Amino acid sequence: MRIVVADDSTVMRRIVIRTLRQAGYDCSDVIQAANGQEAYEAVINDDPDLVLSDWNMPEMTGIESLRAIREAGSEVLFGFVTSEGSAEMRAEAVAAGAAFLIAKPFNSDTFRDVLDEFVA
Amino acid sequence: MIEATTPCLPSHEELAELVEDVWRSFLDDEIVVGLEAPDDPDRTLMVAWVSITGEWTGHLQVLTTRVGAEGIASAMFQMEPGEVSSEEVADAFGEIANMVGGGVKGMVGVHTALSLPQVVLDSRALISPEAHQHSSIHAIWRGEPLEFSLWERGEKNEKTNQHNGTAVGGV
Repeated sequence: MRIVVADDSTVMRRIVIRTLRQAGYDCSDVIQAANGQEAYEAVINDDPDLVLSDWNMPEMTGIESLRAIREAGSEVLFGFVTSEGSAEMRAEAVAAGAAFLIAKPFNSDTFRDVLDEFVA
Repeated sequence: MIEATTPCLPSHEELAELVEDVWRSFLDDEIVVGLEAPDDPDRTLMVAWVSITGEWTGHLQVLTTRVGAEGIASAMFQMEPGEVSSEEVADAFGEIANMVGGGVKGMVGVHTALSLPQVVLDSRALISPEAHQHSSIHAIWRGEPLEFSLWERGEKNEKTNQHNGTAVGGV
């Protein structure tokens, strides 16, 4: 499974990848993106199966990246992993085409509970 | 959609719960949170904060010592404390402020936006982590210490010109 992990924090990208691995998902093909623009380019160029993205990032935010990805015609599975999990943000995420929003802090159980519905 | 019209700020207990959740999840450890500040004014403090702006405006700020911030970074990166760089310390410490601040934003209950985290690795020098100290002088005035220091952003440049002059002695 090819996964794009987008977060402007290096340590948070590592924690997301580590948690994916602990939850039992295949992390042999992970592309790291430091902002929404890099995530968008990774989706267009590398055709991933899943995008896990922070919301609040410099250059291009996660929600802007998702909208650009959908406008480009990609239907890639996209979920947010972010420090904010309000009902307003969840609604905005779903309206833009996100499948889910995981609020930090999280653990491997959180990932399994959310991702198992979407990832075989 | 948000229905509340009055900001609802977290209590001490709720803020402590946010911090304890972050520590358990990402540092794999427990943290003891209290109200009393440690009586140790000479420590070099590091500062990380996020701003929350909108119908309620405020900041979530975290202070710790360099040893504390290195401990946080090493726990989050799963490295030894001596192995983490200043950039990694700033990254991890900033993410702590971001996560707790994000939790506070969710509890406030009115429409707000969260800033990106900002980090200062030495609260005595409110500058970016990439800067290095070029020079400093110290003074005592009416019994209180003063420090004047010149900082340069980016890599240390050995070719930087310096004015000639009388060396500043000890104060």
